[in-house]
Amino acid sequence: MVRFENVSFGYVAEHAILRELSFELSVGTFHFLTGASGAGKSSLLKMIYMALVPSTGRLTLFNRYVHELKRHEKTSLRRRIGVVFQDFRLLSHLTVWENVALPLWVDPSQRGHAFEHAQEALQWADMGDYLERYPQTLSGGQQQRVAIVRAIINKPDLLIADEPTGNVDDKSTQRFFHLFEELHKQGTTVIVATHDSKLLQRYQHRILCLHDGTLTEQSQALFTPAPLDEPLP
Amino acid sequence: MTLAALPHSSDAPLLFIQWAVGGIVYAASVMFVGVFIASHIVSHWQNQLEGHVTMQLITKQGAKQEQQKKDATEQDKQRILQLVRGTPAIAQAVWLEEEEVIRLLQPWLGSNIDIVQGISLPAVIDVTLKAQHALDPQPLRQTLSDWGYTLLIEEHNRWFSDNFAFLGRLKLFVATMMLLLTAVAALVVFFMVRVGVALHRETIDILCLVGARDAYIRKTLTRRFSFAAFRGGAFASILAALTLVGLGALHEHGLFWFQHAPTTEKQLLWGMMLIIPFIFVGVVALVTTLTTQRVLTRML
Ligand SMILES: Nc1ncnc2c1ncn2[C@@H]1O[C@H](COP(=O)(O)OP(=O)(O)O)[C@@H](O)[C@H]1O
Ligand SMILES: [Mg+2]
Repeated sequence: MVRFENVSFGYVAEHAILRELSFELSVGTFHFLTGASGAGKSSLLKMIYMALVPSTGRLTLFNRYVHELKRHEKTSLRRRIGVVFQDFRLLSHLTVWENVALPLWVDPSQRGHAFEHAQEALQWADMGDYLERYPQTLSGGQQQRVAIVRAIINKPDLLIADEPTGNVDDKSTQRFFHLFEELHKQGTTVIVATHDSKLLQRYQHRILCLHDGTLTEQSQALFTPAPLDEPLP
Repeated sequence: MTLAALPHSSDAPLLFIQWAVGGIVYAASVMFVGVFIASHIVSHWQNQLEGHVTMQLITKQGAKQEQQKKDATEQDKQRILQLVRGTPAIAQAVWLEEEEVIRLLQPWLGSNIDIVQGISLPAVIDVTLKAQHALDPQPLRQTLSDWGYTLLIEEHNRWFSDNFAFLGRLKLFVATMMLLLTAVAALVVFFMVRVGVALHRETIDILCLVGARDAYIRKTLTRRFSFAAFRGGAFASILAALTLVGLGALHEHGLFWFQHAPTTEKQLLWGMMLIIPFIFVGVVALVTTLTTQRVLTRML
């Protein structure tokens, strides 16, 4: 599903914040991505949802080399990827309902049921009373819920969540993780960036740990930031 | 239900496009109509006067012209007219009455009859030539000279060919201006689209990330910019039409250029005025589409 081969990335040419990363997210797996603030978690996820391009190395998505993809092919892949952005990135001129309907709306084959599905999903997320509200009038936790619902609205093959539960209470966190698990069981590949050690303990999944620009994997659920004996092939 | 992918809030580039296209459409419409009317007036005159010459008879031997003309008897008139009509290239000849001559002189002398009466009027014959016959005035001039008259022939065609040349240059000038205005419109749109995209950068990024195709974003932007251009263009067209009607009303004969214009030409004129804003809306739409595509290709 996702394969990094010697991928390096830096916002400025001389200074790589991610160095020679090699790892793979196989179809149907669930990974946590952890690491200190500023370690490069968001940057790594941005490469996966094609908002950033690797400086060097080879990135494969859905068995396609990303650097060989044409624009319309990238769009097709993005329709199979759901993203919960760290800063939500909800559109302030659209209502909650329209924000959630957007990924379906821009796809002509799904436009017809966009609003209906969006309403159902928002009701499930306890946001049914806020359909016509604008994001900036909601609390951080509510906005995060909307962002999550938008990410899963088109049942993505790959779900990327960048600290998706930083602002929501325990109960909501559990609900969303239950949903992520549900999607995972149905075959969605999931990667969740977090530095919440409670989550890592509660949900037993593989843990990728970013430290000093390199990645180590910890298959143990108990999160201790000790490096692995050897990096992934 | 519908969804406006881009914010509708007062959008500076859109307003700019609207007023720029408005100004351009107004200038283009007024210029276009101006040339249309000028060319119509000239061709109207030309139709009336082509194949016409005016002959003036001046009595020789230094005698006072006024006296001579008044002395010219009905018999003399008939004799001269017969001679003129007998010339091969001439189809028709009419002796202009005094009032008619005064009317013809009015544009030069004004309507002050006193002045007109104070000067001597020449004898004037309005001559219609046969089509495709060249007038050889020499025998006519000779005979009239024998009878005691000097013949002056005034050809209108030469005057008109000068005017046509001028009109041709004016049309070329207007065509150049139209092209220039189109180029300006295209340039304005090009920069405004870039400003617009920069302004909505976050929205467009998110649209891309949730799987919107370039074509969708392109269409959204093009529809908006074209609509702004249409609003400005329609407003300017109405304003241009009002200006022209107003100018017509200022003229003492009312809508002067409409008095003689055939219906088809009037329809053509208003039709062209209707088309002009759409030409610029088309330019805006095309440039928006191309520019958006260019800008998008360099984005996510
Ligand atoms: N747009 C950017 N331009 C330049 N530097 C950036 C940008 N975004 C992030 N960085 C830097 O890259 C590093 C990694 O950031 P980020 O990927 O956001 O880390 P994390 O998500 O793990 O907190 C940080 O040092 C941050 O300052
Ligand atoms: Mg981050």
